[in-house]
Amino acid sequence: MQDQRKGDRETGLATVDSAEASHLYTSDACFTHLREEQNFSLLQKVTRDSVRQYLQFRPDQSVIILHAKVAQKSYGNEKRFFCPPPCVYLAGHGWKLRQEQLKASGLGESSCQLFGYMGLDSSTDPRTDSFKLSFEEQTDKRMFACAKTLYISDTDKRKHFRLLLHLFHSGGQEIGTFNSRLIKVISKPSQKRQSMKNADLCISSGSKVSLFNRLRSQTVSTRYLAVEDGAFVASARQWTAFTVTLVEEMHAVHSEYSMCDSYICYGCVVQLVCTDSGVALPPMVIRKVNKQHACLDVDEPVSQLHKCAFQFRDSNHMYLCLSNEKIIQFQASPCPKESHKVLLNDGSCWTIIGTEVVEYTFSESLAGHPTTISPVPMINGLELNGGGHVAMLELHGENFSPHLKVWFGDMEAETMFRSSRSLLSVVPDVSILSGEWRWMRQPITVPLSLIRFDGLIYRSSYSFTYTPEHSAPFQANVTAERTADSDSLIDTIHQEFTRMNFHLFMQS
Amino acid sequence: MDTVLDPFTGLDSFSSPYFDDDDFFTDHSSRDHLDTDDFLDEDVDFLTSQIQEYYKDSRIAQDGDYCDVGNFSFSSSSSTFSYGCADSTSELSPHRDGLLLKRRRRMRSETEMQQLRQAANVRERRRMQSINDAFEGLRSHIPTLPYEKRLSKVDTLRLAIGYINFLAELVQSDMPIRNPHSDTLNQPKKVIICHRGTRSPSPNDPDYGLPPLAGHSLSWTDEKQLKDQNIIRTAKVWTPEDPRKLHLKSSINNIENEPPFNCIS
Repeated sequence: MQDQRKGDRETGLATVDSAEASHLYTSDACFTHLREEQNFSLLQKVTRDSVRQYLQFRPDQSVIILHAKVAQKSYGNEKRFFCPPPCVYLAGHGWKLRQEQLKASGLGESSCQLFGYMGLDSSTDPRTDSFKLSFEEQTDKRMFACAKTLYISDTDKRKHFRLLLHLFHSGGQEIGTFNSRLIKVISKPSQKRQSMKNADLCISSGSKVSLFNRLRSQTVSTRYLAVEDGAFVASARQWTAFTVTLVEEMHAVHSEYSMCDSYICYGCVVQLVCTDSGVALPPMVIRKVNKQHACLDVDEPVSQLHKCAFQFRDSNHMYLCLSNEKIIQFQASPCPKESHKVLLNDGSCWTIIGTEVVEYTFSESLAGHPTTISPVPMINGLELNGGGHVAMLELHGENFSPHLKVWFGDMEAETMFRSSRSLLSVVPDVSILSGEWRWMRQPITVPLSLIRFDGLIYRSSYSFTYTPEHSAPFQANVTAERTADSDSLIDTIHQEFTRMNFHLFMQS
Repeated sequence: MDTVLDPFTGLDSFSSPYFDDDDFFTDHSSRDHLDTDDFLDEDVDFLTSQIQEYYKDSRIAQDGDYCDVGNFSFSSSSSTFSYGCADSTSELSPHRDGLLLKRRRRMRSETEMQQLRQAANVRERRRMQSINDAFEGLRSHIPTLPYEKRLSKVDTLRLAIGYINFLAELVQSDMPIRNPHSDTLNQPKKVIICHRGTRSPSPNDPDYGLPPLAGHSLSWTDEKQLKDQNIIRTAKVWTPEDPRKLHLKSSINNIENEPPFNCIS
């Protein structure tokens, strides 16, 4: 039935006059090139077969932006570069595939390369006041670039801002614009005891952080804690986002600090896990650093851009330390005058800062011609409604447009555009996804994607599951054709009853 | 119940209405006939079950369908059961004597008494038949084990109670029959989609005989969230070396970090 509808649409489009057809696209600026070419063959490409093929190989292109949650303001002529520097990774084998596609279509090798600009969202022309990113391929096939010299001036009075990444093919064809998350502007790190109420300055368990070390506050000497080839290193070039988690055992000892359940406090045992590779450091006690001393008696919440040290748990004052690019253990020496302090070296004082990772994933594999990818729709949450014969799935997120359709696996769902933050779709019947529904006694899980009219696929991280339900809700609609069903149902209930109530029979 | 264990005390308390009722021995009652019958039914029914229970347990497996109070009264050696016989007053408890004396005033002939007795027996038999028919009807609705003998009345009632409870729970909980302790309770609100378009099952169907599906419940997962949690759960620990102990190389231990983590999603 679905194929029938598809056929109708194709023939319908073929007969429609060009004025009406072009009207379809004029509403959105990014479709202007489509209108110019009047190329309807683009629309015919999105079929169940082609989507199935995409799902099989997943030639995705991902844009991943890593950045800090807070940025320190630059006063007057000073330039406090964002630290750690915002960086961009291009991942997924779709990039290579796209490159080959473009090459095959007659474009020169050089114009298939990529470059980008990163700047603040207040900047008017990205090509003048932004940082130009040139990507280099890493050993893991990902392309990497980072914006080392971005800063925010005190003339910008905003409390929050975003970074914008503009990506281009070397030929000048725009790939798209990608946003960072919101970044909070601060004047300097808080010196006071941090209040839990100041949630965006606290660091919660399970959030992502970056750690860096700066000798004598010299920018050039900055080294970032990173993971390379499964080992921790102090890199001058790249940084890694770590998930910081509280280790539970500590709660028993510090039970009076129940607030530690969610926020990292000094004196807590934490573990740092690399968000990429899953390599972790052993459990360590986080200590506040004051004038190169680790304070052993401080229990206040850890705040953004605080200096801290990491003492290996159960060790005799061994601390996480860097020695050039290596990560080692350092033996702190006890303070003769103060028993609750130990003396550290430069390499064992770290600055902690919360970070964000934003990932945009799409695939141009079904889109014939180079198009603008952005605005990339992002799904933040789902909501199911209805039930019975019709169930509706509401998608909450950003950058939705009327050109998008929700796809459950290789099945297009009837989609209604409500606003740029809400799409509504009818959940397709499971039988359409896989044969006759009655035989579906195993759960079926399909990925959710958004597909634009021109075939551009935006993959989501969500998947949707149909789980067979064996228990009939005992509905009263006993029609003639249902009697056979209810007979076997009653049989099952009988069996179950006798199985579960065997003791009743034993009594007599 | 005490009365089940001791049917004699049960009789003492429950048989009294018969003796209070002046019209018991006459068909030409001034009262409404049906009322009297109903009144009797309740008590006789109760007695019957008690007597049956008692005899079933202590004596022989009595066939419930054909034993009624009338039979018992004549076969029993104990005159306590023979409430129908007006002459056996000597063994009744003294407090009832006054009532019986009152009844004696209305003297009846021997044939008259026999007619009444027969009529009462017929009524009683008819009544028992209707009860037994109803039990048979109830019995046919109760699931039994394949090798089970025909259920006795008391077991029929007991299993009926259990079965009704079972069904009520099934309806209320709306749980899958096969695995009542499944983890489907995790999702707060279950949205179930029923199939559209139905057809009768045929023996060729791969699931013929299995209970039909009520539909499919819908749910979703965020793979990114799962991946993040999984990375934390399966983290490999890398321990930096202590330069003073050069013989100890930094190593990766494959440790499953399960309980010590406080995962906040």
